Amino acid sequence: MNAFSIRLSNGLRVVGSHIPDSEVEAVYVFYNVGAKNERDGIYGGSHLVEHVLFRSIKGLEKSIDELVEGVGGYFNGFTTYDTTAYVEVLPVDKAELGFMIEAKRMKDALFLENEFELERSIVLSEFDMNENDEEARMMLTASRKMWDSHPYRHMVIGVRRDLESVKRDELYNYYRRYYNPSNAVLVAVGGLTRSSIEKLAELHFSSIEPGEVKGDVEPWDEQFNGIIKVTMRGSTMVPRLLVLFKSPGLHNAQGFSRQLFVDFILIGDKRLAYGLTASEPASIPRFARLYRLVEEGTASSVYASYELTYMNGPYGIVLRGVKDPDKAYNRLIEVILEKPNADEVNNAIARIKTRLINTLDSPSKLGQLYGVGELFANDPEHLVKLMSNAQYLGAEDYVNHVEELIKSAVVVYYG
Amino acid sequence: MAKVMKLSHWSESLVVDVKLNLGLINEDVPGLSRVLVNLWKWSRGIMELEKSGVTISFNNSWDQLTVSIKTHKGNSSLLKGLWDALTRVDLSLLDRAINEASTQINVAREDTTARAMAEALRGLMPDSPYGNHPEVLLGVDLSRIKPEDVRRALDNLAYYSVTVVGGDVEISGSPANAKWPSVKGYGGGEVNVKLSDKVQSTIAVAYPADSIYGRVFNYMAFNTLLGGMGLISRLYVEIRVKRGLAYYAFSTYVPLGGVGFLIALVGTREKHVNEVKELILKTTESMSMVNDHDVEMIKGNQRGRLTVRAESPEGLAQMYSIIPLYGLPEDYYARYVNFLTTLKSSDIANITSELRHHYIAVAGP
Repeated sequence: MNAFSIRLSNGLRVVGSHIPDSEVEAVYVFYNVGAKNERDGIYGGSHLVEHVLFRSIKGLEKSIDELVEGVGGYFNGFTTYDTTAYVEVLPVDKAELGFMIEAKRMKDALFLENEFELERSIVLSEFDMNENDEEARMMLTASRKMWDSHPYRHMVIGVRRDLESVKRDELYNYYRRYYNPSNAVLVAVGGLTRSSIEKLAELHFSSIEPGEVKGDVEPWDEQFNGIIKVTMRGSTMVPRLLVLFKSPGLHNAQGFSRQLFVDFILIGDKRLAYGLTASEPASIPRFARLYRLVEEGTASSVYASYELTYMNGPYGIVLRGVKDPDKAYNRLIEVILEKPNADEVNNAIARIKTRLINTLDSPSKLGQLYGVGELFANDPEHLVKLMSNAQYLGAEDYVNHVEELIKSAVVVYYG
Repeated sequence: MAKVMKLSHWSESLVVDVKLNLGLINEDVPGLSRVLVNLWKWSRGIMELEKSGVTISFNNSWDQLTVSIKTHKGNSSLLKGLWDALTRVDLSLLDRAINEASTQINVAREDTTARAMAEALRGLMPDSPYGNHPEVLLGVDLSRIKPEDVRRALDNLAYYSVTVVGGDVEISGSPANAKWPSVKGYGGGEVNVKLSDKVQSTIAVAYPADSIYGRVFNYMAFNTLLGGMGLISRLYVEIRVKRGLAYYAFSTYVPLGGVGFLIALVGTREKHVNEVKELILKTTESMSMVNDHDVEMIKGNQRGRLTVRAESPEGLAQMYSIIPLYGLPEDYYARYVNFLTTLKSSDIANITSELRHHYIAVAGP
């Protein structure tokens, strides 16, 4: 798969890839703004802005929902620790719709007061939905122990108090500040040819003023060594343990590839992009290292929870059905620290190779990879290369990585 | 009718979808297939495939148990061993498999969305095997499952359908002929389930609908407008867009062999539960009025969606696997497009009058 990139005169980076046999086009715009750009008073604001940008936009004769759903397209918005992205997956003959919507979204959202208030209520309902989920609550608790002042502290959903009180004008200004061509990447992957992508990008985006503010944040972290343990009391049939580590983000290319390799040893897989229009087969193979804990009876199931981040980010391991949290934590660390044998390394490499192929098989996945790669490394194929690099790592790399990984952790027991 | 379907895709991925005769309705012992999934995951044959870069996931459903396989085209010959792997499990691991499965269903029982859906189906179809939820398994005690139950299920193991995208894979094993039980009668009413440590309730309203052999296209069009077309469907507009009462508000239509059901699901704060319940019922009633604009939106949406869903090999597999599973005509989706061409507002509105029964479940704090 060959991606190309160009830059419009207003600074907008455009990444495209032509798949001759594809009947769809995935059109994304990634903005370099997310939880990392937030501060006290507006935690959760990037995500609330994303919601409001599905409401009234000047120049659109219908709502975005109606425009896209009316032709059977898929659309969505995603806010992460570092980025905010919008996507339309469309039949290729309707692809221009995606370019038109995204150009208008970049500059003409109205932020009507009544719509802002409705979206505030909806985001608070989403906050409630997270609170309903025991493991999401454990993650938020651990994250707030892991960092004191780092913007990753409150995760993407933010702080309820801020979401309840932030003013419309403050977030409108936030939108005007960060939503500009020089802080964004347009991605188009699918049946459109390169010349069509270039023509549509020029037609819809070139008249937008460049803007000056970029969302770049120099990578930093808080020094934190040691183990913090927290107990959350609750009534559940399934007591759980979350062990939250910090793993290297994309700014540390070598560390990121090592973490990928570690994942393929510990849980047998790691996906860097998700298909948007169908669920992909996914399962943790029972030969993966962490399933030893289930074999031994320490837990009745296990999985890892992670997000793609630019700075060092949260990497959680969740054990379900834990009877003795201290014993489970100690055994988890022993299992992680063990040097992988030749079979484990070979299995990991076989699965990395397959995952690479399976990551490149739909426009909606390719668009995610290209957008993040271009935004943070000026290389649309950066993520694919980092995963590819992981297949050349070995047991020593694993050991060096996990010895660092386990030095600091927040351990949350819910039961 | 062919039990095997083969399709192509531009990528180098290979996807195989196998539907086994181990749905919730086929089980001699309730919950057996849920436990068997975990035995399979621990089996030597499955793990050997996974070590070679094959991803295998299992999905329990009402009519069938789906084995979803994804790998690359170069691995297609490995899949010859799949059936052998499925028929050989280590029964000494049964307790571990039961323990794992019990954890999975307990997690689902504590989830407001899954629980509300399960309770609504149980209320709607109290005397039918379709009246449970394959992930929640209300009232089922997995510890009653014995090694001989597993052996019997494996002796009878057969497939309803095999769908292959992106390769040429031979799956051994025997094809099965399906029999789907019909539902004798429907219940009505409401149940409230209290769950600990929750701040939000999920409301589920379940309605009986046509099975896969009935007026599926009409129901698909109906559901598209009621709650299946994202942010412009009526439930979404009334509950989320206009009033901001919920983050999620949607409906889904599930056509199965012996029955179909339509279910609306909304998550909201306890103080809004009554208001949202009323809105769900009124919005469903409002489907008796459908205008030309609604019809045009449905046509555009459903035609385009067929293309978009086929962007990935797994999307193709999921779309087309129902054809061999239920013995549907091979031009099934072409027929749907033809149906859409002649769709009239009355085709949708008439469904509304048939939604005479419903059962409401609320799960939350």
